[in-house]
Amino acid sequence: MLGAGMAWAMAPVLKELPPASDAEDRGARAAEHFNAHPYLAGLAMGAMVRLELDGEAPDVIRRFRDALRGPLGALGDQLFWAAVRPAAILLALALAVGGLPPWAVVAIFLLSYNGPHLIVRGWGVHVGLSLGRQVGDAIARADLAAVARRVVVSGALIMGLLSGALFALAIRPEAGVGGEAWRLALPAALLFLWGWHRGSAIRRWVPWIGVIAVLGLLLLGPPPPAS
Amino acid sequence: MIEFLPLLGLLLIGSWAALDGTSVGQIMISRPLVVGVVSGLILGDAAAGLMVGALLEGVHLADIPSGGVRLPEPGPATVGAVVAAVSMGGAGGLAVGVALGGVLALAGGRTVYALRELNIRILGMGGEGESAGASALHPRRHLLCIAADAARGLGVTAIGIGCALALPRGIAERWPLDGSGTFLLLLLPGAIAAGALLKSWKAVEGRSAGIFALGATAGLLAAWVL
Repeated sequence: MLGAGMAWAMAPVLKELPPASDAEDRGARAAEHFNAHPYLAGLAMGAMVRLELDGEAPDVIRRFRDALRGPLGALGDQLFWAAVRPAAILLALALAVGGLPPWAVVAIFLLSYNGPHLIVRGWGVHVGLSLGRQVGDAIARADLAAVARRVVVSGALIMGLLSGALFALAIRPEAGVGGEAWRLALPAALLFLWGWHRGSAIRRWVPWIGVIAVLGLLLLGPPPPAS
Repeated sequence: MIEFLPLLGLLLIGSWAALDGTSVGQIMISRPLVVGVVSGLILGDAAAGLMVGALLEGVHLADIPSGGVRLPEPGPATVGAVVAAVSMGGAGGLAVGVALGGVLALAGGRTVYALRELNIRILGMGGEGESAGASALHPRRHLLCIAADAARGLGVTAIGIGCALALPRGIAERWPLDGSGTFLLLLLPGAIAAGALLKSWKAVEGRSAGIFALGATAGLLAAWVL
Protein backbone atom coordinates (compact mmCIF):
# COMPACT_ATOMS: atom_id res chain seq x y z
CA MET A 1 0.00 0.00 0.00
CA LEU A 2 3.01 2.32 0.34
CA GLY A 3 3.23 3.23 -3.32
CA ALA A 4 -0.52 3.80 -3.54
CA GLY A 5 -0.42 5.88 -0.36
CA MET A 6 2.39 8.03 -1.73
CA ALA A 7 0.40 8.59 -4.90
CA TRP A 8 -2.59 9.65 -2.87
CA ALA A 9 -0.50 12.04 -0.79
CA MET A 10 1.07 13.50 -3.95
CA ALA A 11 -2.24 13.79 -5.80
CA PRO A 12 -3.07 17.40 -4.76
CA VAL A 13 0.30 18.61 -6.15
CA LEU A 14 0.12 16.47 -9.30
CA LYS A 15 -3.34 17.81 -10.11
CA GLU A 16 -2.06 21.40 -9.86
CA LEU A 17 0.64 20.89 -12.50
CA PRO A 18 0.17 22.58 -15.91
CA PRO A 19 -2.68 21.17 -18.04
CA ALA A 20 -0.28 20.06 -20.77
CA SER A 21 0.99 17.36 -18.44
CA ASP A 22 -0.66 13.99 -18.21
CA ALA A 23 -2.02 13.59 -14.67
CA GLU A 24 -2.73 9.88 -15.11
CA ASP A 25 0.82 9.06 -16.12
CA ARG A 26 2.15 10.99 -13.16
CA GLY A 27 -0.32 9.22 -10.89
CA ALA A 28 0.69 5.84 -12.28
CA ARG A 29 4.35 6.63 -11.74
CA ALA A 30 3.72 7.76 -8.17
CA ALA A 31 1.60 4.68 -7.42
CA GLU A 32 4.13 2.13 -8.62
CA HIS A 33 5.37 -0.47 -6.15
CA PHE A 34 7.52 1.22 -3.52
CA ASN A 35 8.82 -1.05 -0.79
CA ALA A 36 10.74 1.23 1.55
CA HIS A 37 10.36 2.03 5.23
CA PRO A 38 7.10 3.95 5.86
CA TYR A 39 8.75 6.53 8.14
CA LEU A 40 11.36 7.43 5.52
CA ALA A 41 9.02 7.21 2.51
CA GLY A 42 8.20 10.90 3.01
CA LEU A 43 11.76 11.72 2.05
CA ALA A 44 11.34 10.00 -1.31
CA MET A 45 7.87 11.47 -1.74
CA GLY A 46 9.10 15.02 -1.11
CA ALA A 47 11.97 14.56 -3.55
CA MET A 48 9.63 13.14 -6.23
CA VAL A 49 7.27 16.08 -5.84
CA ARG A 50 10.26 18.41 -6.27
CA LEU A 51 11.32 16.57 -9.45
CA GLU A 52 7.75 16.69 -10.83
CA LEU A 53 7.54 20.42 -10.09
CA ASP A 54 10.93 20.96 -11.75
CA GLY A 55 9.63 19.20 -14.88
CA GLU A 56 12.15 16.35 -14.86
CA ALA A 57 11.75 13.60 -17.47
CA PRO A 58 9.62 10.58 -16.40
CA ASP A 59 12.55 8.16 -16.79
CA VAL A 60 14.73 10.29 -14.52
CA ILE A 61 12.02 10.37 -11.83
CA ARG A 62 11.44 6.62 -12.06
CA ARG A 63 15.17 5.81 -11.84
CA PHE A 64 15.57 8.21 -8.94
CA ARG A 65 12.66 6.61 -7.10
CA ASP A 66 14.03 3.11 -7.69
CA ALA A 67 17.47 4.18 -6.48
CA LEU A 68 16.05 5.52 -3.20
CA ARG A 69 13.86 2.52 -2.43
CA GLY A 70 16.50 0.05 -1.20
CA PRO A 71 18.61 2.41 0.94
CA LEU A 72 15.57 4.00 2.59
CA GLY A 73 14.11 0.57 3.35
CA ALA A 74 17.35 -0.74 4.84
CA LEU A 75 18.05 2.41 6.87
CA GLY A 76 14.49 2.62 8.22
CA ASP A 77 14.38 -1.06 9.14
CA GLN A 78 17.73 -0.80 10.89
CA LEU A 79 16.88 2.40 12.77
CA PHE A 80 13.21 1.99 13.67
CA TRP A 81 12.17 -1.66 13.51
CA ALA A 82 15.45 -3.15 14.72
CA ALA A 83 16.65 -0.45 17.14
CA VAL A 84 14.21 2.25 18.32
CA ARG A 85 11.15 0.02 18.71
CA PRO A 86 12.75 -2.80 20.73
CA ALA A 87 14.70 -0.25 22.80
CA ALA A 88 11.50 1.68 23.60
CA ILE A 89 9.73 -1.59 24.49
CA LEU A 90 12.59 -2.64 26.78
CA LEU A 91 12.53 0.77 28.47
CA ALA A 92 8.79 0.40 29.08
CA LEU A 93 9.23 -3.15 30.43
CA ALA A 94 12.00 -1.97 32.75
CA LEU A 95 9.73 0.80 34.05
CA ALA A 96 6.91 -1.71 34.55
CA VAL A 97 9.23 -3.96 36.57
CA GLY A 98 10.30 -0.84 38.47
CA GLY A 99 6.72 -0.40 39.62
CA LEU A 100 5.45 2.50 37.52
CA PRO A 101 1.65 2.56 37.13
CA PRO A 102 0.34 0.97 33.91
CA TRP A 103 -0.82 4.26 32.35
CA ALA A 104 2.62 5.82 32.94
CA VAL A 105 4.38 2.84 31.34
CA VAL A 106 2.21 3.16 28.24
CA ALA A 107 2.58 6.95 28.09
CA ILE A 108 6.40 6.79 28.32
CA PHE A 109 6.55 4.01 25.72
CA LEU A 110 4.40 5.94 23.23
CA LEU A 111 6.34 9.18 23.78
CA SER A 112 9.77 7.57 23.59
CA TYR A 113 8.88 5.73 20.38
CA ASN A 114 6.72 8.25 18.55
CA GLY A 115 8.77 11.36 19.32
CA PRO A 116 11.81 10.29 17.27
CA HIS A 117 9.92 8.93 14.28
CA LEU A 118 7.58 11.92 13.99
CA ILE A 119 10.62 14.23 13.94
CA VAL A 120 12.28 12.06 11.27
CA ARG A 121 9.08 11.97 9.19
CA GLY A 122 8.76 15.75 9.23
CA TRP A 123 12.46 16.15 8.47
CA GLY A 124 12.18 13.71 5.55
CA VAL A 125 9.34 15.49 3.76
CA HIS A 126 11.02 18.88 4.31
CA VAL A 127 14.43 17.73 3.08
CA GLY A 128 12.95 15.89 0.11
CA LEU A 129 10.93 18.90 -1.00
CA SER A 130 13.85 21.27 -0.51
CA LEU A 131 16.65 19.25 -2.07
CA GLY A 132 15.02 17.05 -4.72
CA ARG A 133 17.76 15.11 -6.48
CA GLN A 134 20.35 16.14 -3.86
CA VAL A 135 18.47 14.31 -1.11
CA GLY A 136 21.17 11.61 -0.98
CA ASP A 137 23.64 14.11 0.47
CA ALA A 138 21.23 14.94 3.30
CA ILE A 139 20.75 11.24 4.07
CA ALA A 140 24.51 10.73 4.19
CA ARG A 141 25.00 13.77 6.44
CA ALA A 142 22.26 12.61 8.84
CA ASP A 143 24.18 9.31 9.30
CA LEU A 144 21.10 7.40 10.43
CA ALA A 145 23.16 4.20 10.72
CA ALA A 146 25.25 5.85 13.46
CA VAL A 147 22.04 6.91 15.23
CA ALA A 148 20.86 3.27 15.05
CA ARG A 149 24.13 2.11 16.64
CA ARG A 150 23.71 4.55 19.53
CA VAL A 151 20.13 3.40 20.08
CA VAL A 152 21.27 -0.24 20.05
CA VAL A 153 23.87 0.55 22.74
CA SER A 154 21.13 2.10 24.92
CA GLY A 155 18.80 -0.83 24.22
CA ALA A 156 21.47 -3.41 25.14
CA LEU A 157 22.12 -1.58 28.40
CA ILE A 158 18.40 -1.50 29.27
CA MET A 159 18.05 -5.18 28.32
CA GLY A 160 20.96 -5.98 30.63
CA LEU A 161 19.51 -3.99 33.52
CA LEU A 162 16.12 -5.64 33.06
CA SER A 163 17.56 -9.16 32.79
CA GLY A 164 19.82 -8.67 35.80
CA ALA A 165 16.99 -7.27 37.92
CA LEU A 166 14.59 -10.07 36.96
CA PHE A 167 17.24 -12.71 37.65
CA ALA A 168 17.99 -11.17 41.06
CA LEU A 169 14.29 -11.05 41.91
CA ALA A 170 13.88 -14.71 40.89
CA ILE A 171 16.70 -15.97 43.09
CA ARG A 172 16.20 -13.64 46.07
CA PRO A 173 16.10 -15.51 49.38
CA GLU A 174 12.46 -14.53 50.02
CA ALA A 175 11.46 -16.44 46.87
CA GLY A 176 12.53 -19.61 48.66
CA VAL A 177 15.85 -21.21 47.73
CA GLY A 178 15.15 -24.21 45.51
CA GLY A 179 11.56 -23.07 44.88
CA GLU A 180 9.79 -22.64 41.54
CA ALA A 181 11.47 -19.31 40.83
CA TRP A 182 14.93 -20.82 41.39
CA ARG A 183 14.11 -23.79 39.18
CA LEU A 184 12.98 -21.46 36.37
CA ALA A 185 15.85 -18.95 36.60
CA LEU A 186 18.43 -21.38 35.20
CA PRO A 187 16.26 -22.45 32.21
CA ALA A 188 15.63 -18.74 31.51
CA ALA A 189 19.38 -18.09 31.38
CA LEU A 190 19.95 -21.15 29.16
CA LEU A 191 17.10 -20.20 26.81
CA PHE A 192 18.53 -16.69 26.54
CA LEU A 193 21.85 -18.20 25.45
CA TRP A 194 20.00 -20.47 22.99
CA GLY A 195 18.29 -17.44 21.47
CA TRP A 196 21.64 -15.67 21.32
CA HIS A 197 23.19 -18.68 19.58
CA ARG A 198 20.40 -19.19 17.01
CA GLY A 199 19.49 -15.54 16.40
CA SER A 200 16.46 -14.68 14.31
CA ALA A 201 16.25 -18.27 12.99
CA ILE A 202 14.53 -19.22 16.25
CA ARG A 203 11.98 -16.37 16.12
CA ARG A 204 9.10 -18.36 14.62
CA TRP A 205 9.25 -20.96 17.42
CA VAL A 206 9.13 -18.49 20.30
CA PRO A 207 5.30 -18.15 20.60
CA TRP A 208 4.91 -21.93 20.37
CA ILE A 209 7.34 -22.52 23.21
CA GLY A 210 5.12 -20.46 25.54
CA VAL A 211 1.95 -22.20 24.35
CA ILE A 212 3.49 -25.67 24.68
CA ALA A 213 4.85 -24.88 28.17
CA VAL A 214 1.40 -23.78 29.39
CA LEU A 215 -0.45 -26.68 27.74
CA GLY A 216 2.14 -29.17 28.98
CA LEU A 217 1.80 -28.01 32.57
CA LEU A 218 -2.00 -28.01 32.35
CA LEU A 219 -2.16 -31.53 30.92
CA LEU A 220 0.82 -33.24 32.50
CA GLY A 221 1.85 -31.05 35.39
CA PRO A 222 1.50 -31.74 39.08
CA PRO A 223 -1.86 -31.11 40.75
CA PRO A 224 -2.56 -27.53 41.80
CA PRO A 225 -1.49 -26.63 45.36
CA ALA A 226 -4.26 -26.95 47.93
CA SER A 227 -5.69 -23.53 48.75
CA MET B 1 -20.07 -12.23 30.21
CA ILE B 2 -18.93 -8.72 29.25
CA GLU B 3 -21.44 -5.86 29.19
CA PHE B 4 -22.16 -4.00 25.96
CA LEU B 5 -20.04 -0.86 26.47
CA PRO B 6 -16.86 -2.65 27.64
CA LEU B 7 -17.29 -5.11 24.77
CA LEU B 8 -17.59 -2.23 22.32
CA GLY B 9 -14.45 -0.66 23.80
CA LEU B 10 -12.52 -3.92 23.45
CA LEU B 11 -13.62 -4.36 19.83
CA LEU B 12 -12.64 -0.78 19.02
CA ILE B 13 -9.17 -1.04 20.57
CA GLY B 14 -8.64 -4.37 18.75
CA SER B 15 -9.65 -2.83 15.41
CA TRP B 16 -7.46 0.21 16.03
CA ALA B 17 -4.54 -2.07 16.87
CA ALA B 18 -5.06 -3.93 13.58
CA LEU B 19 -5.17 -0.67 11.61
CA ASP B 20 -2.14 0.73 13.42
CA GLY B 21 -0.07 -2.31 12.49
CA THR B 22 0.21 -1.27 8.84
CA SER B 23 -2.61 0.79 7.36
CA VAL B 24 -2.96 3.86 9.57
CA GLY B 25 -0.37 5.62 11.68
CA GLN B 26 1.99 2.90 12.90
CA ILE B 27 2.26 4.78 16.19
CA MET B 28 2.50 1.53 18.17
CA ILE B 29 -1.02 1.44 19.52
CA SER B 30 -0.76 -2.09 18.11
CA ARG B 31 1.85 -3.19 20.66
CA PRO B 32 0.67 -5.73 23.26
CA LEU B 33 1.82 -3.44 26.07
CA VAL B 34 -0.56 -0.67 24.95
CA VAL B 35 -3.46 -2.92 23.98
CA GLY B 36 -3.00 -4.91 27.21
CA VAL B 37 -3.18 -1.89 29.49
CA VAL B 38 -6.12 -0.32 27.61
CA SER B 39 -8.03 -3.62 27.59
CA GLY B 40 -7.26 -4.07 31.28
CA LEU B 41 -8.53 -0.57 32.03
CA ILE B 42 -11.75 -1.32 30.14
CA LEU B 43 -12.23 -4.52 32.15
CA GLY B 44 -11.31 -2.80 35.43
CA ASP B 45 -7.92 -4.50 35.95
CA ALA B 46 -5.13 -2.46 34.37
CA ALA B 47 -2.45 -4.36 36.33
CA ALA B 48 -3.52 -7.68 34.78
CA GLY B 49 -3.58 -5.99 31.36
CA LEU B 50 -0.05 -4.70 31.91
CA MET B 51 1.15 -8.15 32.99
CA VAL B 52 -0.36 -9.88 29.93
CA GLY B 53 0.86 -7.13 27.60
CA ALA B 54 4.38 -7.16 29.02
CA LEU B 55 4.68 -10.95 28.73
CA LEU B 56 3.39 -10.92 25.14
CA GLU B 57 5.84 -8.10 24.34
CA GLY B 58 8.58 -10.45 25.50
CA VAL B 59 7.35 -13.17 23.14
CA HIS B 60 7.39 -10.78 20.16
CA LEU B 61 10.51 -8.79 21.10
CA ALA B 62 12.60 -10.19 18.26
CA ASP B 63 9.89 -9.82 15.57
CA ILE B 64 11.52 -7.39 13.16
CA PRO B 65 9.51 -6.79 9.97
CA SER B 66 12.28 -6.60 7.40
CA GLY B 67 13.01 -8.57 4.26
CA GLY B 68 9.39 -9.61 3.62
CA VAL B 69 9.34 -11.90 6.69
CA ARG B 70 5.87 -13.09 7.78
CA LEU B 71 5.16 -12.21 11.39
CA PRO B 72 2.39 -12.84 13.93
CA GLU B 73 0.00 -10.00 14.77
CA PRO B 74 0.04 -9.61 18.56
CA GLY B 75 -2.05 -6.41 18.90
CA PRO B 76 -5.66 -7.59 18.41
CA ALA B 77 -4.68 -10.96 19.94
CA THR B 78 -3.82 -9.22 23.22
CA VAL B 79 -7.48 -8.24 23.71
CA GLY B 80 -8.55 -11.90 23.87
CA ALA B 81 -5.56 -12.69 26.09
CA VAL B 82 -6.52 -10.00 28.60
CA VAL B 83 -10.18 -11.08 28.58
CA ALA B 84 -9.11 -14.64 29.41
CA ALA B 85 -6.68 -13.51 32.13
CA VAL B 86 -9.16 -11.15 33.80
CA SER B 87 -12.21 -13.40 33.52
CA MET B 88 -10.40 -16.50 34.86
CA GLY B 89 -8.25 -14.60 37.34
CA GLY B 90 -5.18 -15.70 39.26
CA ALA B 91 -1.97 -17.29 38.01
CA GLY B 92 -3.92 -19.84 35.95
CA GLY B 93 -5.83 -17.08 34.17
CA LEU B 94 -2.58 -15.30 33.36
CA ALA B 95 -1.03 -18.48 31.93
CA VAL B 96 -4.09 -19.36 29.84
CA GLY B 97 -4.42 -15.75 28.65
CA VAL B 98 -0.82 -15.48 27.48
CA ALA B 99 -0.99 -18.87 25.75
CA LEU B 100 -4.23 -17.90 24.02
CA GLY B 101 -2.64 -14.59 23.00
CA GLY B 102 0.24 -16.48 21.38
CA VAL B 103 -2.10 -18.67 19.31
CA LEU B 104 -4.34 -15.75 18.31
CA ALA B 105 -1.31 -13.69 17.23
CA LEU B 106 -0.15 -16.48 14.92
CA ALA B 107 -3.65 -16.84 13.44
CA GLY B 108 -4.03 -13.05 13.11
CA GLY B 109 -0.74 -12.84 11.23
CA ARG B 110 -2.19 -15.15 8.57
CA THR B 111 -5.14 -12.82 8.01
CA VAL B 112 -2.77 -9.88 7.40
CA TYR B 113 -1.37 -11.61 4.31
CA ALA B 114 -4.83 -12.51 3.05
CA LEU B 115 -5.73 -8.82 3.39
CA ARG B 116 -2.74 -7.77 1.31
CA GLU B 117 -3.96 -9.97 -1.53
CA LEU B 118 -7.37 -8.30 -1.21
CA ASN B 119 -5.77 -4.82 -1.28
CA ILE B 120 -4.06 -5.61 -4.57
CA ARG B 121 -7.45 -6.58 -6.03
CA ILE B 122 -9.17 -3.47 -4.65
CA LEU B 123 -6.54 -1.08 -5.99
CA GLY B 124 -6.51 -2.79 -9.38
CA MET B 125 -10.26 -2.95 -9.91
CA GLY B 126 -10.55 0.18 -12.05
CA GLY B 127 -13.00 0.18 -14.92
CA GLU B 128 -12.01 -0.23 -18.54
CA GLY B 129 -9.82 2.56 -19.80
CA GLU B 130 -8.76 3.61 -16.33
CA SER B 131 -5.01 3.59 -15.86
CA ALA B 132 -3.34 2.02 -12.84
CA GLY B 133 -2.31 5.47 -11.65
CA ALA B 134 -5.80 6.91 -11.79
CA SER B 135 -7.05 3.83 -9.99
CA ALA B 136 -4.49 4.19 -7.22
CA LEU B 137 -5.32 7.88 -6.84
CA HIS B 138 -8.98 7.06 -6.20
CA PRO B 139 -9.61 7.96 -2.53
CA ARG B 140 -12.55 5.56 -2.23
CA ARG B 141 -10.34 2.57 -2.98
CA HIS B 142 -7.85 3.61 -0.33
CA LEU B 143 -10.66 3.99 2.16
CA LEU B 144 -11.99 0.59 1.10
CA CYS B 145 -8.56 -0.99 1.81
CA ILE B 146 -8.49 0.68 5.23
CA ALA B 147 -12.10 -0.37 5.95
CA ALA B 148 -11.23 -3.96 5.00
CA ASP B 149 -8.32 -3.89 7.47
CA ALA B 150 -10.57 -2.48 10.21
CA ALA B 151 -13.14 -5.20 9.52
CA ARG B 152 -10.40 -7.82 9.65
CA GLY B 153 -9.18 -6.46 12.98
CA LEU B 154 -12.72 -6.40 14.33
CA GLY B 155 -13.22 -10.03 13.29
CA VAL B 156 -9.90 -11.20 14.76
CA THR B 157 -10.63 -9.35 18.03
CA ALA B 158 -14.18 -10.73 18.23
CA ILE B 159 -12.94 -14.28 17.66
CA GLY B 160 -10.29 -13.76 20.35
CA ILE B 161 -12.84 -12.50 22.87
CA GLY B 162 -15.18 -15.36 21.92
CA CYS B 163 -12.41 -17.93 22.45
CA ALA B 164 -11.48 -16.37 25.81
CA LEU B 165 -15.08 -16.51 27.03
CA ALA B 166 -15.69 -19.99 25.64
CA LEU B 167 -12.77 -21.57 27.50
CA PRO B 168 -13.94 -23.61 30.50
CA ARG B 169 -13.24 -21.73 33.76
CA GLY B 170 -11.92 -24.93 35.30
CA ILE B 171 -8.76 -24.82 33.19
CA ALA B 172 -7.28 -22.04 35.30
CA GLU B 173 -8.06 -23.95 38.49
CA ARG B 174 -5.89 -26.85 37.28
CA TRP B 175 -2.86 -24.54 36.96
CA PRO B 176 -0.12 -25.91 39.25
CA LEU B 177 2.24 -22.93 39.70
CA ASP B 178 2.01 -19.94 42.03
CA GLY B 179 2.15 -16.31 40.91
CA SER B 180 5.93 -15.82 40.76
CA GLY B 181 6.51 -19.27 39.24
CA THR B 182 3.90 -18.55 36.57
CA PHE B 183 5.42 -15.17 35.79
CA LEU B 184 8.88 -16.68 35.36
CA LEU B 185 7.58 -19.58 33.26
CA LEU B 186 5.85 -17.11 30.95
CA LEU B 187 9.08 -15.10 30.73
CA LEU B 188 10.92 -18.08 29.17
CA PRO B 189 9.84 -17.33 25.56
CA GLY B 190 10.86 -13.73 26.18
CA ALA B 191 14.32 -14.93 27.27
CA ILE B 192 14.79 -16.65 23.90
CA ALA B 193 13.51 -13.59 22.03
CA ALA B 194 15.81 -11.30 24.02
CA GLY B 195 18.81 -13.50 23.16
CA ALA B 196 17.86 -13.44 19.48
CA LEU B 197 17.41 -9.66 19.57
CA LEU B 198 20.79 -9.15 21.21
CA LYS B 199 22.41 -11.23 18.49
CA SER B 200 20.77 -9.11 15.78
CA TRP B 201 21.96 -6.01 17.63
CA LYS B 202 25.51 -7.35 17.70
CA ALA B 203 25.48 -7.20 13.89
CA VAL B 204 24.63 -3.48 14.11
CA GLU B 205 26.89 -2.58 17.02
CA GLY B 206 29.63 -5.07 17.97
CA ARG B 207 29.86 -3.86 21.57
CA SER B 208 26.21 -4.64 22.38
CA ALA B 209 26.98 -7.97 24.14
CA GLY B 210 29.54 -6.33 26.42
CA ILE B 211 27.17 -3.49 27.19
CA PHE B 212 24.42 -6.00 27.94
CA ALA B 213 26.74 -7.78 30.39
CA LEU B 214 27.53 -4.46 32.07
CA GLY B 215 23.82 -3.66 32.39
CA ALA B 216 23.03 -7.15 33.69
CA THR B 217 25.65 -6.81 36.43
CA ALA B 218 24.28 -3.39 37.39
CA GLY B 219 20.69 -4.69 37.37
CA LEU B 220 21.62 -7.70 39.49
CA LEU B 221 23.41 -5.55 42.06
CA ALA B 222 20.68 -2.91 42.10
CA ALA B 223 17.94 -5.49 42.67
CA TRP B 224 19.92 -7.11 45.52
CA VAL B 225 20.79 -3.80 47.17
CA LEU B 226 17.42 -2.08 46.74
